[in-house]
Amino acid sequence: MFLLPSLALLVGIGLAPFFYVLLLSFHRYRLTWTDRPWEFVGLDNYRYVMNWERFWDAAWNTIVFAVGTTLLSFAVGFALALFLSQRFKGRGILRALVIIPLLIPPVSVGLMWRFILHPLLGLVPWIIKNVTGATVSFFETPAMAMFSLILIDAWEWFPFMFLVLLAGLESLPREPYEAAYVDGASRYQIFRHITLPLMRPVIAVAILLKFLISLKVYDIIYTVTTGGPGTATETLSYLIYRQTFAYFWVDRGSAMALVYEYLIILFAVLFVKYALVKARMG
Amino acid sequence: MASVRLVKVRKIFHTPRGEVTAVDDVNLEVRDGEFLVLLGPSGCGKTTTLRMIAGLETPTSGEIYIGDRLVNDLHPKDRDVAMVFQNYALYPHMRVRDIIAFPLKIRKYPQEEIERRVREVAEMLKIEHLLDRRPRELSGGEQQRVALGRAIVRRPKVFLMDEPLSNLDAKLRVVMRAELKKLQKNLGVTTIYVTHDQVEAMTMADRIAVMNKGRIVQLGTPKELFTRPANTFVAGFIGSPPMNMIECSLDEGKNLLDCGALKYRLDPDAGLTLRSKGVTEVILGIRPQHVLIERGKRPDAVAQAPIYVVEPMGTETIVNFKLGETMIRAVIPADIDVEAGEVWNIVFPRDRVYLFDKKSGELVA
Amino acid sequence: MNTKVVITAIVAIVVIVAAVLLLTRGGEQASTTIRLYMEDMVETAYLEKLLPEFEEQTGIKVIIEKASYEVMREKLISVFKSSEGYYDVIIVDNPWVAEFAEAGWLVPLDDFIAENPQLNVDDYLTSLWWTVGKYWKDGKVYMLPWYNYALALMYRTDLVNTPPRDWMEFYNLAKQLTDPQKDFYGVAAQARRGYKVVEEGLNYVYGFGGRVFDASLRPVINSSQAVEALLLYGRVVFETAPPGAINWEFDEAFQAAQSGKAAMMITYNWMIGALNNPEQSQTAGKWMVAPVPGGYAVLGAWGWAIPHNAPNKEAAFKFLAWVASPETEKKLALMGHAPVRKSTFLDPEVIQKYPYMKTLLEVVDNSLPIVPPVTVGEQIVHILGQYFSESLLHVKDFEEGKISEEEAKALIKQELDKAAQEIYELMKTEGYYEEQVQLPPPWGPG
Repeated sequence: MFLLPSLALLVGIGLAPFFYVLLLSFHRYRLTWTDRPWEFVGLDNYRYVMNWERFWDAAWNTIVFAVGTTLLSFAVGFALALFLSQRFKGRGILRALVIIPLLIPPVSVGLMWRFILHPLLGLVPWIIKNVTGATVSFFETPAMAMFSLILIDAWEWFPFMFLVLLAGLESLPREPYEAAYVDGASRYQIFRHITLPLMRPVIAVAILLKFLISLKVYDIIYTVTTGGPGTATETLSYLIYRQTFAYFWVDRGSAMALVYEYLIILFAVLFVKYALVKARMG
Repeated sequence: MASVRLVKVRKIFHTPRGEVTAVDDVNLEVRDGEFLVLLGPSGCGKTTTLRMIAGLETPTSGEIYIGDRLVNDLHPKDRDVAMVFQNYALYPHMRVRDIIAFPLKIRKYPQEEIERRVREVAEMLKIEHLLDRRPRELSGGEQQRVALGRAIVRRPKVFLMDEPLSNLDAKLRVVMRAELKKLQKNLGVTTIYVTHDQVEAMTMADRIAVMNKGRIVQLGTPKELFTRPANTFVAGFIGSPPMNMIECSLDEGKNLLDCGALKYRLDPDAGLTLRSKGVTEVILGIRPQHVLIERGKRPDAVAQAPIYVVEPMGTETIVNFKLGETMIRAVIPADIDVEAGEVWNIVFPRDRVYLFDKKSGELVA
Repeated sequence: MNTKVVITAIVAIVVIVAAVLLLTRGGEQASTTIRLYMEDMVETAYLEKLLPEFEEQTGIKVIIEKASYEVMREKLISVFKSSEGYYDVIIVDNPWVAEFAEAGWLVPLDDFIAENPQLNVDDYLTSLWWTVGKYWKDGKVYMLPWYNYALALMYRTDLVNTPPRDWMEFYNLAKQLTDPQKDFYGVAAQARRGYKVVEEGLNYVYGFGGRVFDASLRPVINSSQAVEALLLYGRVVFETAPPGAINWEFDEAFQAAQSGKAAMMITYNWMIGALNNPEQSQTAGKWMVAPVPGGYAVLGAWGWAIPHNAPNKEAAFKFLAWVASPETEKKLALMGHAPVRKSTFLDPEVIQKYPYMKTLLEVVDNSLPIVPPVTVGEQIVHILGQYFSESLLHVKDFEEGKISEEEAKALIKQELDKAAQEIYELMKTEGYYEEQVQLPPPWGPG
């Protein structure tokens, strides 16, 4: 009995929109249609999406982006978490400083970095020019544009990785560390044989979370490259957004969103099954 | 193998509530191959002392030597000590085989050597069948053995053991006690063993260092500690049930100790010693095993009193008397029938009585 | 005791606040209020300064809700789709007007125009009249022009003697002025994929005689003129603009220009004001405006419209009658507003304050809307944006010597073929080719 209200809420909030989108994906319908009824078209929308080269290009871009930013933000976040899990004066202030990027709205992050990377007025190109003498253009080529986006996104998200991994580090048991220390292990050996294996479940969760979040990236693409140059940085979320809200083709957008969702779910299930279970087994 | 020497070692912890002196000018020499127990109540500094020897804590002042080497600033890997932790501190993610092999692996021993040694140790500790399990699949006793295995596999100069048996159930503890002692004698490795359990200390130690409030209050063989406790602390800590301690004042003229509800006549020598040392307030100590009780009247009885409580222990019986505010315990053979309420005479044999200075707690006579 | 006091105080405060809110609401209901939904930008600020005048004249209170451009389209849809209206007057970007009108979301303004002859709609420049949808489909008017954003050439008078008249001249001059050693460039280009690359690149296409559509609305963006135009555009971007301009938006380009890193810039004609404003520009006073090289410029415009579900249409019309009047536009123009009426451009007072007004008139007069008022304007801009951007990447390869000029042209042609094909299919789905249409000049290839 007590379950009923929460069940209703779950259905209302979680499932109703899903079924709406599912239904839409089998019809032809645009937001600008006021009087025309939905037109049933079967699998037409799906056929279109599956055969649309740009959808798969965007899928590939999304994966490249997500893998890149996940690895980069993980590397930076983990290094900082290891550093700031040690005891020393000023640690609290440094910890607070590290999470600042997380507090800046993504749209502002994009704008800010556009100017930090501005070839004539930006700080980073200025430093590079003064150190190496080379002029670097961060968005000139498709590869550079993708790299720069990854850089910006990783900057925004490394504090998230830092917080998750720091929480993991702080909750590790102390005893194995003391045991390993007395057993004669060096700092590196302790990291390699104790910290890393003990952190594996936390690392797996952090990477999974960040990867899933990265797959949905939109704000930064919108503010920094709008998917360009060409379609080099067009991700699935961006493509779907354009179809749905800029073109009002909610039918095709729905089909794309669902295909995308299936892909994500498939990935998440595989990841949980292999990485997480394996991490728990040690 | 090596001796361990502590010279004026002191450890001060800085806590939010101020400085706490955990270890206060400890001097100690552990002989090569000796089994030395650091005994004391919790918070007495024994574990901190052990951790300083292990290298987990740095002494605030003083010197620690292993063999002839000053080790204050040495990394544990250069001290060549092995430690067994109270909660075993096994690596949760490794198999037993890898846990035992770990100290050798990080020292880059050849693989065959590692395998051979692990096999030997596993055989010695009878844990060959556990080698492929992980810690959480092991019982407490099995984990204990693995922890031991990890310590002995690399044949260190010194074993450090921090209450290694305290997490085991009573029965297993008795078994492990004996095994551990035998193992230590077979290996001949200098061992420093921390415990708060005086039975463990008495049964296993070659020598015991009793610690209280950061200091070593007595160092000696178990027998010495039992028969010649240097002060009331040691006297009260060692022996079960604990020694009866009765506060008395010296009645100088009569060579008599006035202990409230009971009177104790000193032998002349003891009286002389007390007087020569100027001690008038005395704590009279006698172990319950040495208190004699008689139904019939005895001239040398210190008191005559009704039995307050009887505690049968099987092989023996503990009889409690209440004299005013003072409780006196006596241990008697189980075949003597006693009942609460019966009046008995209590006798303190003179050669079994310890006299302590009430002010300093030191043994006087 | 204390808790009681606190509770009493809280209750008292709640009651007072509620009373105040009710009273003020009551006050609002007594006089009429209309709500405007507008973009948060400088033109809106000019209008706000003038609003008290309208409120005094009519007693109608005006509330303006401002949003950034990025969210406007989405927000407008939710406004149109809701059963109860909220906004009385909105502004609409010209690529959207046909789409919104076709969906039945905008109120036709023909009757209103007929009843208000003082509005004098013939005063609107022809090019701007094109953006609002007049001469289109049902022939009705759904929006009144508010301000134009025709593209023009900004140039540094200390570096450029006479502004270039065609794109080749422009390219040569820009190349001559470029000196990467000194961090100085001929053009602060803005070739970001999306609206920007179209607003810039399409000027080149127009200048080469290309068009997006022919007079019968068939896409002709894959013409050889367009290919030549984009090749040259790419050469400008990669040879004479700062590195990374392929991803630049207005902000990056403006900062480069105002800080003295570039000699020329193609941007909205009224940006001349900002470039010469010492508060915004380190190079103020050194800039002049001219028509884009090649003659025809890309034109955009925002206009006033009334949503079909406006709660207070009567007051909305009153507001429209005031805001679109020649008198109001003149007052706004004196503040810096970008005019849409010929009379304003030619007004002596306005010219006295802004001597370049005649040049701006020339710019807007010789401009063609970025897209014709069709129901898929937004999509067409984005299709063009994507393939223009792809084309630039081919020019990049040519610049780096990876491909020859002929190969680059062939690849650009391929991209534009795809753009034309997509636009054709899009238009066809929308039913545009069921009847034959014939557009008057300047539509169709020039």
